[in-house]
Amino acid sequence: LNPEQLLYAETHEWVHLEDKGGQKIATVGITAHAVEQLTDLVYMELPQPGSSVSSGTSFGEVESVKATSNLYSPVTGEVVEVNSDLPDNLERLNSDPYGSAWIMRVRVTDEDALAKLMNHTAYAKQIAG
Amino acid sequence: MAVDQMLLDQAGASPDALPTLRFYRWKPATLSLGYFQTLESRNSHLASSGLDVVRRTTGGGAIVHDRELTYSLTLPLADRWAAAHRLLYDLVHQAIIAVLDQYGIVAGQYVRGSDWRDPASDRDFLCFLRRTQGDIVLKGYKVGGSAQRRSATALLQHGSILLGKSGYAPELPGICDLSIRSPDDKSLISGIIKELSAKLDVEPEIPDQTDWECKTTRNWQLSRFGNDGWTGKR
Repeated sequence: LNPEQLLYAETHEWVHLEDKGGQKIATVGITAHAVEQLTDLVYMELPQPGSSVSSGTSFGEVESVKATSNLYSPVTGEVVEVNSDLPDNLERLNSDPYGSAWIMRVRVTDEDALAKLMNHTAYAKQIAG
Repeated sequence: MAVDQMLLDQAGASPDALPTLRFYRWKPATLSLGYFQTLESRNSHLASSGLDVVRRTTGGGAIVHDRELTYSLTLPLADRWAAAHRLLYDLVHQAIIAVLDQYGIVAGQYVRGSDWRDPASDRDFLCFLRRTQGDIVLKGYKVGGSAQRRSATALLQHGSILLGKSGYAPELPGICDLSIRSPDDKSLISGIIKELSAKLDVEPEIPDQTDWECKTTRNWQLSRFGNDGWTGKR
């Protein structure tokens, strides 16, 4: 995916939106900036497919050598798919954060929450500032 | 653990919340698991098998809290990913090293790759058998380490100082086993507070406990740290 065409949450998750059969599906991952700051990732816990996630609330956790952090969902909806290979291949977060290191796909049920997301330019400004 | 979680809540409630540093010891001796460790993994360590167990919210390896001093540091967080938070390890560890130095104990911070250790040992069951950059080492043995939990708005740094060898983890010598003289708890704590206050240019104060703090601590105790569901969640 092209990072310039994605949407971003303040909490450093990216979102790719697409329409599938009239439903809005969001693919979610964490940004290269977040991965760089975390360093030495050792563990990741994903949500269960079928579970609900809400914008701004925790959907998973990631452990680096020295810090455990919650992952916050940038969208509200139902988890329809998770990247179950990712926890065993965490190096993908470094090598391909916007591609094979996607974390979950969510069927969006509240499109209003999407208004809070930033475009690439605004996100780049946030991490620069 | 429940108090630390309450302090994390408190720190996250306002960006202006003051940082809190807390020291404590455990009675009875207890085994704490790192957040991602399985309860079953304790079966690999026979010496601590008789101890009560609790699961921390911070990661890393298991700790036998016996002849050991635990600290927690909580503070509000503007950006939980910021690399600068790693400096907090160094800040606290350097304060501990400075206090030990006053007793003629020459400890230092571990530099990855500086010894023969197999990188696979980073997955050892016990925290003090693992090594990560910045840990406090004395004569080749780890005697201090820390780990962080970052929520959306606050940070909790847990740390442990190994004072002496425990019968529940006899493979781990502590500070008093590795040096001729060592500070008692009180001197160590007051020394660390003094060092940190000077480094941060702050004046420490001891607050009174509020009803909210007691109630919130109790809630965390019931829902998490005193709850078998939490302890056995993995």
